[in-house]
Amino acid sequence: MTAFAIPLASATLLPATPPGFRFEVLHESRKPGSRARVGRIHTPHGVIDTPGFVPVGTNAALKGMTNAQAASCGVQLQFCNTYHLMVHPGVEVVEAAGGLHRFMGRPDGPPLITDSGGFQVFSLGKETNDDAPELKRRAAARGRNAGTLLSISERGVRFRSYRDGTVLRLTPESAVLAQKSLGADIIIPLDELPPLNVTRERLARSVELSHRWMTRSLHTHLADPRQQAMYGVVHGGTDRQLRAHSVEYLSGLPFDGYAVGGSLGRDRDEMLALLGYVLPLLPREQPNHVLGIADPASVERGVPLGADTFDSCFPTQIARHGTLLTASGRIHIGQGKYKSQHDCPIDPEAASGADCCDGVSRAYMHHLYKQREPLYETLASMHNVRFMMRMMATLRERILADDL
Amino acid sequence: MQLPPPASSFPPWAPRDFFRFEVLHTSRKPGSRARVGRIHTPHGVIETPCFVPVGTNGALKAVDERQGREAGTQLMFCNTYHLLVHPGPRVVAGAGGLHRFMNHEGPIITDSGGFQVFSLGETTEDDRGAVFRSYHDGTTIEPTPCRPSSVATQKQLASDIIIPLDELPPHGMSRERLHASVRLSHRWMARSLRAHLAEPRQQAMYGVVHGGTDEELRRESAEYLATLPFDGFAIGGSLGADRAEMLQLLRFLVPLLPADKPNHLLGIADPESSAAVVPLGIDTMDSCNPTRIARHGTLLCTGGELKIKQSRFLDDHGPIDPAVETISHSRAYLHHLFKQHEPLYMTLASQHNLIFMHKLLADMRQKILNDEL
Repeated sequence: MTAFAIPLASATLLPATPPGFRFEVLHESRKPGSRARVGRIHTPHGVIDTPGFVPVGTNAALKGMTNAQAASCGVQLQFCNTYHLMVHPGVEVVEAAGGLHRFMGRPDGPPLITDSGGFQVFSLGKETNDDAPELKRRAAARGRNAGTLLSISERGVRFRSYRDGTVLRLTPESAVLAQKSLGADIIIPLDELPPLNVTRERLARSVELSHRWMTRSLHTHLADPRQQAMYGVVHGGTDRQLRAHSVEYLSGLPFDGYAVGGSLGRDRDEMLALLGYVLPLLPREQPNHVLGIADPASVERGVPLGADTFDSCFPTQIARHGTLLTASGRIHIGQGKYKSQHDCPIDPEAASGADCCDGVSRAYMHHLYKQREPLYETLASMHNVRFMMRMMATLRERILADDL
Repeated sequence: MQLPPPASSFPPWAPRDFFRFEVLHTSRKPGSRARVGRIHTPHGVIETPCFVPVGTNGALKAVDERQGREAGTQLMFCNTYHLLVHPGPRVVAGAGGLHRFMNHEGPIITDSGGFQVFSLGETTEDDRGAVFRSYHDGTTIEPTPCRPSSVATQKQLASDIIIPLDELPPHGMSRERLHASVRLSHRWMARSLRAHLAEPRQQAMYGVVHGGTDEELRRESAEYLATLPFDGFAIGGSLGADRAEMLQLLRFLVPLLPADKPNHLLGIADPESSAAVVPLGIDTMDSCNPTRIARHGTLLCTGGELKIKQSRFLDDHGPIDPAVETISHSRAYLHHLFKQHEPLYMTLASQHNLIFMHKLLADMRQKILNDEL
């Protein structure tokens, strides 16, 4: 009953590799059982070393970090959320600024990746801890209808803006046109995010809908590539059969890379088991991306499964709430024992000079945190992001040494 | 009314090898008392006149060390009161002083703790000093001129320029009460000076001239303090109901201060005021104002202030101030960040206003050298 039949992966879709986008695999680990590889993604705005960590700058900004600070932490690719930018300032404004890179004040890079807008639309029915403070504030102010999903149809999605309650629409075509206006280097087609506990039948229908939507997005994208690369999003929840089907279908289409989306399980072990199943099915010569998961433990175990990039708010979010990452584990900087740790850098095991928070003691961070100084957020985010970037660099070295 | 101790009870002022003020050029423009100078401190040189941002809690709000430095900050103000409350002077001393604690390289000036005591909290006071309650955990704190003392605290903070305890009288006092307040401040400051001189620790101390808007009391205060071996003079207390009153008072007061020592205007430093007080001979001036208004949405601009939340900036992709290069981001971007409550807004807005103020003062220094100001 749909107006949009599932197109075959056919020659009518030109397999176009945009100029300026290229993935090269530098080294595949020779450690038995490992699928880890070191690579480089080339984009018009710069190079991304893989495996790599991608911090999230929701509203076209990393929380409390300037471009210079992000650069000093080694950030190479940054995630921006199309949904929030649609709500404010609106993609036309960003387009008039010359695109996201210019709007954010860093016209020459580094690279950016945007999502379709779908994730927040589908996940905003209930609040999670991931929601930005402005969502919570406005949702509370405007009542339960704020940010809610109104309808899903073959055409697309209708939802209310969390800013002022107006009805917004998102279709596979408009999600791509929005990302054309934003101008990020890597873009993502519209997909459906089904609720967590659904029947297999509902899940299967969702996967098919996502496939139809993503194909329409891909058509829209290829009609006007603008030097952007598009990643298909593999779905299927925790059902291996559906996952395999999704990979098979999407890898027949001329995507430039593949993201792993949707629910991956109830806990880390389930998630890694599923990744261990899915990643080997993906085309080896193209980059892959794990959406929304990048805590240190998951990354360390996900890299040998063959993952190339990971994004998550996690490191910057926990930083703001007082948790700093170190080589010996997490520290909660608000604890009294840090009050006088003057000669101790945040992570004593980090090589000095490599830490962009050089000279900042635990005692000072404790003080800033307790006094709710805005500078705390900046330094804490920088520290955790730098920790993640250093961790990725170490993982890359180990892969090159066939140690991972 | 008890008189403060005479100058003869103090050692005469002698040049220090760790702190020095040199006047490089006094404006030859008729009527101007503006001068370009240099204050040498153990942690670096300060070109005057200059704007002094306030890093209340041992940090500029949302601006890190490098950003503060690159914006042109030469001297930073920290509030002893807030540091007394948290983390406490013992912790800062344990770090090796404020510079080490904050990872800050340049000169720092601290106040006595008195200002916030009198303007924020409930106090009882007598000649020993003031007593107040910590807003952090309710314990009682006494920053008296002696032990436990404002000066001892500033010794532990190890800032470069320190300020003795003075009283900030409430508005609308009778002249008699104001006079008593001035004499009390003089007695407190004399005791602070004595405590300081017993152990200078490479710090300089500025006396604080009081007297409200009463010219005779101001003269009494300036004349008395000028006889004591302070290294410089700050102008404190009420300066009037508006800028015109303030300028009139400063026109009267600044010439009464020793010209060979640096002076500092406490708590006043918006663009218009700064432009007006420099020709009157002011060397340094501190205020939270430029950084605070930034955080609340007001950006300084050559043509006047911008209220960045206004919808007309939604798609204004031009620089914040077309006449002054500050940060590379556009008005539209700052507007967006402000509306979305992004923490980055605070950093960029503060950076912009800081750079604007520092460039304003740098421009004035050049004009003084050219005898245009």
